Amino acid sequence: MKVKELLVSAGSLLLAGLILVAAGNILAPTAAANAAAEQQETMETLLPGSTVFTQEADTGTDANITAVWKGEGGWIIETTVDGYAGPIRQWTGVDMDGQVTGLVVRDMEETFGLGRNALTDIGFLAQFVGTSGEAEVGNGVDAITGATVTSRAIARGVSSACGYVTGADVTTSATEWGG
Amino acid sequence: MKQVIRSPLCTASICLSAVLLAAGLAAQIAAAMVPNVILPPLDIPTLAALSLLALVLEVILFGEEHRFWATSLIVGAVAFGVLSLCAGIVPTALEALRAGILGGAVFLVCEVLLHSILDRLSSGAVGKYRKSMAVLSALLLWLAAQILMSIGL
Repeated sequence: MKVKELLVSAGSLLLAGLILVAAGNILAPTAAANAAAEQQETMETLLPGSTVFTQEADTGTDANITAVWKGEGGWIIETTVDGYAGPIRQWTGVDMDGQVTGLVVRDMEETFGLGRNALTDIGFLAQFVGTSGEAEVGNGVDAITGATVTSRAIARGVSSACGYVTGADVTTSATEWGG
Repeated sequence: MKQVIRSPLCTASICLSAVLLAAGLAAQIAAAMVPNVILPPLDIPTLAALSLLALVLEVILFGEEHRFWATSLIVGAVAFGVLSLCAGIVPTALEALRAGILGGAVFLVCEVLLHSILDRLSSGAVGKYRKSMAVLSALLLWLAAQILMSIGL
């Protein structure tokens, strides 16, 4: 009886595992194609006028910067900054003059109803567009109600992105840190 | 065979596998079709939600099952560890191990709490509404688990 119970128990887990692995393999090509299309569309929105984006190696010293893409009209900078509940990964579009052209949060673990509002709070995100230099909550940037830590983290990400481009020699695509 | 399937070990495995399979498929489809979707992290509230769903399913399908705690811990750990890796929710075996340990512990705690509540309700006026009580109790436990948000992998 015990052996049969173990076999049925293991069998149910094994069956579920096999279905999940099979589904993952079936969906993988679709997922890759959709991810590439979504990335291109998002980058074109963040950096208007650019259509070709080339990922470049980030050899800078700013630990917040986790990836860098260069477009014809500027840069897309991916930053990962600790928020209230976990790291916040965002993309910030910055043009050649160092002005923010757009930003979007790509991943976060913030609290539902509070920090998560940063995903959709257009009023909050729009404050950064058109700015340059250091973004600071309380100094021209209003925090999301009840989510000051999240707001500060996003502002730090924007500051890092601007700092990367401001220190860049845009005529040669090289940064002062060698990117 | 029916007796085997209704054993506490099998009912836990079957219900937990079914719930994790459904959740894993939903996550895979969402990630494939909507690449920018942000899925809930595999933290304690999420693990508690999945565990409580499985336990409620077990009460509805098989009645209330009382097991050795070690059985629940092992079934929970294996199910969360293996199936989260198979679904691609965790990328490495080490993270799957952590998901398994945390998931097993959460499953055990949820089972003890849910069955404790149901045992106490069974002698009262609402004792005959076992399935409804299981759903409501699970909902309350899940809401209580929100306080442990951000404690995860």
